Amino acid sequence: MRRYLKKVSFLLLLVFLAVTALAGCGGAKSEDKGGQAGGDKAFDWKAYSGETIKLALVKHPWTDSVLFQLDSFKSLTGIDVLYDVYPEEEFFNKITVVLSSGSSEYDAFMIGPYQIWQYAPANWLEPLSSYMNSESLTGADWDKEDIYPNILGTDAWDLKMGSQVGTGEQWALPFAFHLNALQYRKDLFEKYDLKVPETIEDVIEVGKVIQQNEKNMYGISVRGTRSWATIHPGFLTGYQSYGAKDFDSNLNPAMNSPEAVAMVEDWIKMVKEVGPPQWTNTTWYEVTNSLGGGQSAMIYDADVLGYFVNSPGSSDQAGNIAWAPGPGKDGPALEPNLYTWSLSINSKSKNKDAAWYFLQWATSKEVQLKGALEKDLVNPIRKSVWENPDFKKRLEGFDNYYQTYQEIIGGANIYYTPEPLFFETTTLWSEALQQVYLGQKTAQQALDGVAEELSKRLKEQGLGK
Amino acid sequence: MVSIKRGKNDILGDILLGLIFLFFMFPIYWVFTMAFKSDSDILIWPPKFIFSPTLAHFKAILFNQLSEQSVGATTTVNYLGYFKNSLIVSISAVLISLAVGIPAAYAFARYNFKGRENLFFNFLTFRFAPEMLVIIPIYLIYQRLGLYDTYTGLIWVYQLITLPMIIWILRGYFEDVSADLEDAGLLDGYSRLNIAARIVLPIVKPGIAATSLLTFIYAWNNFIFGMILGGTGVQPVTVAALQFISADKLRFGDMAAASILAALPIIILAVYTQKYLIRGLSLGAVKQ
Repeated sequence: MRRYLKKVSFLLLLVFLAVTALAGCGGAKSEDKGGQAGGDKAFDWKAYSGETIKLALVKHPWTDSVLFQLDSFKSLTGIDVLYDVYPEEEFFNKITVVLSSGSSEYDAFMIGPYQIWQYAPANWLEPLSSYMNSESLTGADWDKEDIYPNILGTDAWDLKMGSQVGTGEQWALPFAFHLNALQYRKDLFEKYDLKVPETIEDVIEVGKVIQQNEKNMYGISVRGTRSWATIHPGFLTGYQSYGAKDFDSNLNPAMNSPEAVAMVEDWIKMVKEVGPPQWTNTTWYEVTNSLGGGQSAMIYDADVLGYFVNSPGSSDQAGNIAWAPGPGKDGPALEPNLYTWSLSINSKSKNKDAAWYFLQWATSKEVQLKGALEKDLVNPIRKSVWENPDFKKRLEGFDNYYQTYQEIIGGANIYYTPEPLFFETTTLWSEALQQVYLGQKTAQQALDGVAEELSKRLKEQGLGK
Repeated sequence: MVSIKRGKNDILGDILLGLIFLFFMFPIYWVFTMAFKSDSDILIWPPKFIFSPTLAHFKAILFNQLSEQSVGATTTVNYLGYFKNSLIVSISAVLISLAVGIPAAYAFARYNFKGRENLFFNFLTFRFAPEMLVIIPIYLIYQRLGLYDTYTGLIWVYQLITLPMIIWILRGYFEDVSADLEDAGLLDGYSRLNIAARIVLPIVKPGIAATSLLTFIYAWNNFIFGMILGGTGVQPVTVAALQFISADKLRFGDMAAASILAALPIIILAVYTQKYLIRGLSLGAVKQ
């Protein structure tokens, strides 16, 4: 299915190229009514009362946490909201068709940081800085300073390939995110008197103890399919702690640097010795299920995965999970890679201002707090929510969640360098990891192969040297 | 009547057939049991064959209750709404295709006209292009014409699936009806239309039933047209089954229950039209 969908998305892109001309004509004709933010009017939540916006959303507990408050948005603004919700893969298939054809069907939609690097250069996204900074369009109590700057920054980019995220235009607003950390079974760690691993070496040691004593169990679950999903969570977090880089400042691939090779060797050793038996088929869901279903003792992935598993009633291991910063080279990896689910405005939308009101509302203090307290908007993007005593209390049943978060949020970022081939690059990269895992190549050979192939492809795009 | 003596080999053959049957039925059996298992029974390793059944998943999707309260999941799935969409779109698409396809197939079978085979082949080409390849142009056109997210739009695009199948299969059935019968009708003073309606159609009725069912299955199973060319209001059950994939977990039980419900109409139809189906499929198997 995944393979098929991947093929499908590739076909989509091909077709997109073929019809760009057609779409271009259409786009030019459509009237840009919403347009630039501005005017001297005072901010008024009711300014776009009577308008209707349509959203495209990904099925996710975070989405649910916002949607259940939708009535308050409608009564606050008088804006009506329609929405379609799809699972992630189908969502991106659909939104690619919609955006590439220049359709104004959806006014706002969900997006992650990596997609921005493709969508923004294609002019599919409305730049948001002017909205954010406009006093007539953004209420004073929105309080940008209350949002973690590194989290907000993951959706900002100056459109230059190879320059890091965090500078330039704001292309989307994050409304929730997860950090990559270690999550483990408290009962097993107590039973065998194990120390929480701080390095990848430690993980192997601890994992071996588990495997020797527990039938049908393995040490740690991490993702391993041929996909970007394998690269960006635990792997890239550990990678960062080895001081390894994906590209140098000229966008030349650096996946085969000595640090990178050492990291991959350690990582694959971990996967081989204490990892899941069918690592190359392990996705986000297998990682979750392995922890919740009692097959793995640890996972190195999004902190929110353990949160789902640990939530009362959601799995056999509910209440039995604890958190710690992810293992690194010589100590914990305090600079985790992260992922945000964000909201963007369609540049072809006819109701941009109303759509901005939705973005503003969804990232507001009230919605973030209510979502985090009553639903599962974890992690919220606002410092004030993290300071809220009720929220702290809510996280008490999640052992060391809060402390771990405090330790790693400062260093958290997108540590991947923006470049147009992100999905190709990470697929090649994960393929190389699989080759090392299967013993087809040494780490050096496999990573040299990635670097060489990537240089070639980037050169075709006129990038790198 | 020739009596057949059963030997040892036949019994071995029966056992082999039984094994093959089990092999092919197992996934269906598994989905079926999954629909009645609790979430923790589904994920458990080693897999459980004996479990206490629950109707929670069916309740969840039919009455919009969540089977097992856990993380998230505020947006419920109006599964019956999707079911209705599937029925409306698939049935209408097949009916329209029949209305257009029966005369067309008859004409292809009986009349000699210029470019007949080319035109006939042309209908088949509708099935050539991968749906993914034509969907963006269709999406663009639908947006302009206001057909996007409408029943009309979906029924129309479903003709790409149903019409070629009906014309291609029915032509064969019409050709198998002896031309002598029609000539006899002509001699008796029937018009062409009367002959078609009173002589030919009754003969090929089983064929029409079998073809309709087959096309209906294809229409019912389609995913991509509804996914891209429709919104939540008109999308079929095939798209709805996806709604149970969320980030916190794959709701396997709900998905299995949804699949079983989605397969029901086809199973019921197949049972009721069985006698036509078998006659239809073997009609014309023996040529005069």
